[in-house]
Amino acid sequence: MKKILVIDDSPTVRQQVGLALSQAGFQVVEAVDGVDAIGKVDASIAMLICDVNMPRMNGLEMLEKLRTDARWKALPVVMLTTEGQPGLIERAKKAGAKGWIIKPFKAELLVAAVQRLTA
Amino acid sequence: MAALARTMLDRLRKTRDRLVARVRQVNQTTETDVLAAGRHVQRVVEVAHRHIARLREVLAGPVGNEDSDLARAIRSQAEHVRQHTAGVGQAVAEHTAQVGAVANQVRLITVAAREIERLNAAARVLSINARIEASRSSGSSVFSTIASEMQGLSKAIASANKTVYDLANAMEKTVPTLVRQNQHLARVVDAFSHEARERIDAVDRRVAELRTAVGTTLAESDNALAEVVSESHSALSKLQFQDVCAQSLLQIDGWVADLSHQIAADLGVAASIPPAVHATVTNDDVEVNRSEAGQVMLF
Repeated sequence: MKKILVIDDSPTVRQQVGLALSQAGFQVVEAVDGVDAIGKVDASIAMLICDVNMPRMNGLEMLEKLRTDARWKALPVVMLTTEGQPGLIERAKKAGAKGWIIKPFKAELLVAAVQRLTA
Repeated sequence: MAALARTMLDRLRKTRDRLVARVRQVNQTTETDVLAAGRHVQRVVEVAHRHIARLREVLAGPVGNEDSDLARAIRSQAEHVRQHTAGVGQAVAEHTAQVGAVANQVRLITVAAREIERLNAAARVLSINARIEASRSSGSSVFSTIASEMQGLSKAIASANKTVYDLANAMEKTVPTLVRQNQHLARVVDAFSHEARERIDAVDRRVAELRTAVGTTLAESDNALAEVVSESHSALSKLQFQDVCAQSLLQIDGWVADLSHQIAADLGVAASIPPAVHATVTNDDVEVNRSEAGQVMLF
């Protein structure tokens, strides 16, 4: 069972992403912000779904920090956020994000993206 | 002016505190309710999953496939009845052949009895001849004895032959009855075999129909469950309004903080302005096109 790390300061979003992914056969691990996520990334994680606006360390900072570690250069990361500014999307893309989803997300599309990126 | 600016900044800070406190209060309430709603939906899906699993177990177990218990039991019983009726049919056929053989033997007995009767007639002639010779030879004791013995033998043969005749006659009357009864039995057995085969075929057809119906029902149940899951995800997606609203409301605090910095700078007042309570990557007031919400952009 593939393990997905869901990073969001909103328990509501974590619950909904977790429910959609677990029903699709994924195992879900949760983190409440970027700092928490960095501490939870390990070799068992197949992919990250990450909010952008979070306390302590936001999603883009987390992504950029993650890519400085050679072990996680190719780890798929998709941003899931209320933000939709092209500048932010471009920054995430440059940092190596594999996708961008604007909240509220549609479960079936999110699951399809996760399945595709973890295949 | 500086005092006025500090008062204004202080009021702005208090307003921010109240705003953030109220937003957090509302956010906490909606978050609790949203999480509860999410758990309810999750429970609905779990109950539906359990129900379908139970339905599948109940229906698929006895009749769902070729190797299910009921299908195997019906096939076994059908084979048993087929073998049994075939065995009875074979026994009746053998019995018919034996009855035919008995009828033939009775006819042969009758022929043999006629032959015995013919020989007995010859014996009677010999007896009469011996008596005639005895009278010609003035009562020769030899011919008298022969005539007497031949007459006794003839009577004994006639008596025995009558018994054989009577038995043959009785059997000739009984055997056709036996043949008729045997033919009737054969017809009954044949009709039973035919009916049993038809009924077994009917049961087979019913089992096949039931299996098809079970398959269809399970497929419909799976589709219904998929629909339940899809609808629940749609419902849950709507509940994300809480996070979207919370972030939008807390962004107001960031704008007021920016405004406070601006006022302090414009009026040249040194002030301690707390940072925005909710970190945002950008504080631009950019309206996100919500029709794009949920769309996945993969790079």
